[in-house]
Amino acid sequence: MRPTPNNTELIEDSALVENLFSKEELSAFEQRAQTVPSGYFEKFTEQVLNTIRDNNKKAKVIKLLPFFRVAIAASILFIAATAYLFYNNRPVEKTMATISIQDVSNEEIEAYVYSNELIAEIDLQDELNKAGLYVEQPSSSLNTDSNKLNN
Amino acid sequence: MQSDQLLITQFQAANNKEACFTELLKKHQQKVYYQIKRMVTVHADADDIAQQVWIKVWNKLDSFKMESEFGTWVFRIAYNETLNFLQKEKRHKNKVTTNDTIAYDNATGESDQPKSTEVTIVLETAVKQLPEKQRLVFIARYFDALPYEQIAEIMGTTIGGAKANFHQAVKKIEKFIRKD
Repeated sequence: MRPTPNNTELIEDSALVENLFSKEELSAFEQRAQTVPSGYFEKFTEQVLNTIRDNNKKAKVIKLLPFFRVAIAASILFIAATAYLFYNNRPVEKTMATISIQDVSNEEIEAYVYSNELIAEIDLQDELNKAGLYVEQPSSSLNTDSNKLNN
Repeated sequence: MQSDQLLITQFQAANNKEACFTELLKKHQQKVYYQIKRMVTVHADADDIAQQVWIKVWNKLDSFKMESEFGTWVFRIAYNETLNFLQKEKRHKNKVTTNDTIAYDNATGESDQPKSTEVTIVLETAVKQLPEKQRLVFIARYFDALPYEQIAEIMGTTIGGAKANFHQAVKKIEKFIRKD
């Protein structure tokens, strides 16, 4: 039920609304708003309490004493620091894979030598130059051979 | 019946929390529900929102400082929850017109719910086309006969703001009726 207006301003405001709608319309609107399924409010209380109980079960907050809070924080810090130090100072395993030369096929050895030939030559040439030695380049000898054949 | 203040003090002192809360809930649940229902019109929606409101009240009651009346504080929570609901609904049902909504309410309405009649349809439609804040002020001012001070506190606005919202709402409703 709508409370009765008890001051001038409220009476004036109510009159503004009642000029737009009949009392019948306004009370029908209010009646519709206030109509609920039977026993709704009794069930509602229980429903809300059950939801609250369920929520409390799900999220049980454990209150810690200040000493335990500090102890837990210190433990976490200690574990983190230990893990960090252990990770950074662990011995690096320098193991190289040992492969027996017999296990590698001739084709693979030739392919490896062939693909690294140029680099090997450059390195060798550098070393020879540093030592002041001269070695004839295989390419020039090849050219000479081919010239001979052409002739 | 114990006063709200005494019940809240007992609740905050963890003195039989559930009993204190139940008493507060029983005292205020109808007013809170009606306030929500006038805003959303559908019982199922009003029921969902009302439950959310009371769960929030339970969660926040420990930090309630009694600077305002408990009823005003709960109304404020209800207002915010309703506003959130209406904004979400607006995003989801952008294309549904107000008339469609009322038709839907009637189609899916509970058996105990009186159907919208010719008499109420114009008023319901007129109220529903108002922006949320104006809708709340209009309902709180006319149907709950709340003073502007309390409405302003619920909405977190000034008394002048609440008054302006009410008069704008009346003007909009008048325009809507004349158009029809």
